[in-house]
Amino acid sequence: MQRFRLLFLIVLAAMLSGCGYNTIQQQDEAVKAQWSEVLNQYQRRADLVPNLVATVKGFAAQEERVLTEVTNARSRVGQMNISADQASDPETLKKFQAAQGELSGALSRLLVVSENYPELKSNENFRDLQVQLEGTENRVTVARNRYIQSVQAYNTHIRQFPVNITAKLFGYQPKANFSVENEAAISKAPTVEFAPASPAPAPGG
Amino acid sequence: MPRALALCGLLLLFGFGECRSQTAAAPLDAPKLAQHVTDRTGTLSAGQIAELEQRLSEFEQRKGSQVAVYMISSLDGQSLEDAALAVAEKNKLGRAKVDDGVLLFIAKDDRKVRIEVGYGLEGAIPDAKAGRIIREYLAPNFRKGDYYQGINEATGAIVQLIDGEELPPPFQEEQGNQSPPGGIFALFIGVFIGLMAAGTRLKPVFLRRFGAGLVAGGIGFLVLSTLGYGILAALIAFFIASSGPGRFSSGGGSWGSFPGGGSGWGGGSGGWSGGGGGFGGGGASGGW
Repeated sequence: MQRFRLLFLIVLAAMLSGCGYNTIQQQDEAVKAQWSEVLNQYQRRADLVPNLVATVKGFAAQEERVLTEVTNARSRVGQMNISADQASDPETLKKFQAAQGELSGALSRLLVVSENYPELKSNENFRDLQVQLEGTENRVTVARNRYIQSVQAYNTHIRQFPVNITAKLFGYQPKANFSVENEAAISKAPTVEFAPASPAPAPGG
Repeated sequence: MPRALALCGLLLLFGFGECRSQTAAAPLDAPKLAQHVTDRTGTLSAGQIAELEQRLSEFEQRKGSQVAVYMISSLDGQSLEDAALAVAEKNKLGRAKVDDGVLLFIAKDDRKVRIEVGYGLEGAIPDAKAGRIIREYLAPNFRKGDYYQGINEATGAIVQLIDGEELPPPFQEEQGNQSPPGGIFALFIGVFIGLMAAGTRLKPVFLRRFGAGLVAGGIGFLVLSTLGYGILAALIAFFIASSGPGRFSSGGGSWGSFPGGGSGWGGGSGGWSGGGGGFGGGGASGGW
């Protein structure tokens, strides 16, 4: 009987470590791979910025404020290369997200400003860059979505019985996930103002 | 003892089920394409569809890449990028590993179009080129209402771009060796070892049988632990060991004809379908 109990425990341990443990490894790796993809796409966006800034400068050098804003945001993003392990920490991920969000905001302001320059808008080089930027933003979205899903799968797995015991035993913690970037902005209704704003640019640029 | 045994078996089964139920991705609400060109709006005539279809399937046979056209009337408030990616991912356009699929997605009444490019073609069709195809071929023709001409020119340009890219030759999968599924392999090893162990002379009868199952399970785990086949092998071997005479007599013969399920490769005869290509959101969107 004593021996049987021992065997029973061994089988139990085999089940836990065999099934739960290996799946934790798989999903942990999947999360890391997805994180690399997220970084990869953000990097791709950052690489586009100097080119974009140079092109816009050629037509709209007077938009200095927006241009420096983009350049600064770009350099801040460049300093934030965090690994997959660091990304599972909520605080670090938040900072990373804030820096990337800042660049997103600056870039969209740059594109809004460039609407005022018909010559710039019809420039083939600028159009290509704009398409590339859009494509990259889309890739970022896709990569982020997949990262969110893989983290979700991982977190769900290690929180469920009996895997939670295995996870606790080996020190696997739930990972932080991306949140909606501008939660506050989305939940607030937009305000529309008809007050005379800054003078519109002269037609024909 | 029987109670403990039952509990043990239950736990094993439970563990097995646990393994199988992992990562069920949320199903995307996207249609399955039955051919290269799908027009839900009735804009293209049957002859025009047949013509495009023929060109694209010819191209697929020649080059291996899958270029598909999907036209709907309205997105119903969905985002263009999400909708196009959902269709591309659901159908897995392009070959597996090569990822050479392209989807031309048109929302006619929304006047929006997207070229979704598979991972493997992001070099052949960079976003800027996809954007130019939309601006130079699709938008002008669509503005005139000539949808066939636009689609024709755009797919022609896409085909030309892919032609310029070195890709593995088509029908590659026919050369691939047909190895037996790993799970079945693990099962056989598990059963075999289990029977061997059952034949050896251990003192207590139960321990012997139980040990047989355990050893089989352990080996099974080593061979294919992540799929849970090991547990199944352990169970099977355990039951053989405990029901049989404990001798390595005629057990092998009857289990030799174990059905090798799970290897159902249709080969894609008849209906057309995607080949398992992946997408990462590459391509360009536009309007007219």
